[in-house]
Amino acid sequence: MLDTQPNSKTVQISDLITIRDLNMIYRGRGSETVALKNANLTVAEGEFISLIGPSGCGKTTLLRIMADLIQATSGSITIAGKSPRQARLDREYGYVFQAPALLEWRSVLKNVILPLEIMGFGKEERETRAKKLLEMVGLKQFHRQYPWQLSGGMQQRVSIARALAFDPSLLLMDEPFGALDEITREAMNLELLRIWEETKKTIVFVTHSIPEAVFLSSRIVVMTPRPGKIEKIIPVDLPYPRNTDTRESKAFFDLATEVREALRDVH
Amino acid sequence: MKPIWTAFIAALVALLGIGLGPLAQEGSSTLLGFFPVLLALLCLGLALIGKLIPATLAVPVALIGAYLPIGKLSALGNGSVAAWGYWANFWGFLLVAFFAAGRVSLSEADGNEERAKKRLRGALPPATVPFILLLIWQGLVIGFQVPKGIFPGVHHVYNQLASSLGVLLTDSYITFVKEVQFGFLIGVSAGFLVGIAIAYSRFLQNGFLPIAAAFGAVPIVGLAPVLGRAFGVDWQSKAAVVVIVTFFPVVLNTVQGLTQLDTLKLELLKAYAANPWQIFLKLRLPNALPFLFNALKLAAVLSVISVIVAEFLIPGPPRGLGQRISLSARQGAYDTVFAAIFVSSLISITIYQLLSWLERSLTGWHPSYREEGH
Ligand SMILES: Nc1ncnc2c1ncn2[C@@H]1O[C@H](COP(=O)(O)OP(=O)(O)OP(=O)(O)O)[C@@H](O)[C@H]1O
Ligand SMILES: [Mg+2]
Repeated sequence: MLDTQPNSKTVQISDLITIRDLNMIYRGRGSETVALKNANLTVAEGEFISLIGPSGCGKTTLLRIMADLIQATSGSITIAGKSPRQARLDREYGYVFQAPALLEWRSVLKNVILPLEIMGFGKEERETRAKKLLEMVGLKQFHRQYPWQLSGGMQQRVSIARALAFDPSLLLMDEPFGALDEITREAMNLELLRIWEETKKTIVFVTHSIPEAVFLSSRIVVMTPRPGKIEKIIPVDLPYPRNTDTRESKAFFDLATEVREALRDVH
Repeated sequence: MKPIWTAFIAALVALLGIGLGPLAQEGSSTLLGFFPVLLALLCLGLALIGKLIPATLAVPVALIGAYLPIGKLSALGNGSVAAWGYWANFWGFLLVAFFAAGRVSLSEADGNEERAKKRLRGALPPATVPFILLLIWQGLVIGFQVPKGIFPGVHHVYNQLASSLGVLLTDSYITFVKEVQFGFLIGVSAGFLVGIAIAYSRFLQNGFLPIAAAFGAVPIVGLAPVLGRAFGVDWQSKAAVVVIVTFFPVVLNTVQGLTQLDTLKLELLKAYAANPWQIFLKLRLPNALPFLFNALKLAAVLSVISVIVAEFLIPGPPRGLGQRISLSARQGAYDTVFAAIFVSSLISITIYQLLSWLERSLTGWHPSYREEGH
């Protein structure tokens, strides 16, 4: 019931992510936090899914389980038909962390190149890809700088360029635009949508911003805390390609209200 | 900039000493003459102007001024102890140099200042302090007419240095090229390898690390005779002392540098399915570099100190600087002692600066260098 059909635009292809009865319990010294309780979710190939919910409701936890950075306490999860571990080893996804996580001894360019180095891309290809991505995130002229010479928002943009560098078909993004100003954020939203439509990636995107979630997603997953649960899945039937006009349409406003109310019910 | 009143008053004191004070207890002449008075007036004027360049100029002028009474009293040659004119003159000029250099180094840089001025601000204090210290040394020795056998003057040490430079360099060769170099290279590389092993083995981390810290505290005074017995009195036993004192700091810092990691960065590489070798090369090693250089600098200082002590404790036919020092001290040849200490300090400082330079060029990204920019 929670698995609403993916939006009308995508012709139904195969399911990329399937999550069944997933539970995650963090056990500390004499304390237990139920970060995820009976989560069920199916993400089809090519979807843009947003996870939205108040702080501490388990969004990062869910993303980290998908990325095999932590293992669920119980339940099942497959990514492209594989276990998360196998998917990680096969480099199925790119991950944008909530913090930039740049290596401070590497220049901006070298940071973007890092995954390509690890995955064994040729020297020339590495440079051209990294430079193109830095241009895309508006940091072309900063490629020689070191991370500490950039603002927080600029650092986060570098980390987005880095996640895109090896062109993964699945992107897991944890509040990638949280540190950006409104104007840059909207520009990055448009850019991300362009990439998504051009390359047919699947994106799982964590955000705190209701307009951002509505603007980007084909479906919005509303989560609630204590214990972390998937409360509601709202399909977003706004036509693509979306642009600045989309934000001013009535349908956009209605959807934003629906998400807001779903979040409010929680409290 | 405001006038440097402290330097101005100090220059007045010097002028007073030049004009009125007797230079020596016996044969009471003054220093009064055209040149000293000129220097004092110059200092007065420069202190009043107080700008960057005049204040800088005041420093060498005052240093020359402080030397004049020393020269005059030595030239008098009657073995007489200095009187208040000498001291007013001497301390007055020294304080002028001190306050003027202080003003230059503490002055606020204004934004669009030329590079040369910025460099001056940084370079003046380290250029001035050695001269002030040497002058104080010489001024006291001459002023109180301290005999050479009790405490040599700068000129004694200088003469000794000039006449026995060859011998001292041969000693240095034994001490630094043989003992320190071999010991340092072996100790540091062994420490680095063992550090890596410990960082990658939970067993060693729990088992070896607590003991390693204790081992590092074993005093060389106790250890040196044992090593002398084991390796003979030649340079090898002293190199062994150096191996031991350099090994432990390098182990501890390597382990720290390789393991004190931001977990987020580890997860990043894990998300790329990086292999352990890549994690070592691209994450752990660069992360460890600042730690390693701290260890290297510490090890360099420790090895010089301990090799000198080791030469005291294991005397042998090849003489190093340490043995030269202990031998000369026993004979009361303090000028040689100081000459040897001077050479050893000079070499240590050079090694340390070399390491610092290497550190800056390899870990320029580190937060501690951020102010300097790139
Ligand atoms: N490593 C951990 N150990 C123990 N508890 C944890 C750990 N990580 C997260 N938690 C707990 O799990 C819950 C969910 O955390 P999570 O980071 O997934 O929240 P989130 O939805 O991403 O929040 P935010 O919007 O603030 O980033 C929180 O209550 C948190 O305290
Ligand atoms: Mg989070």
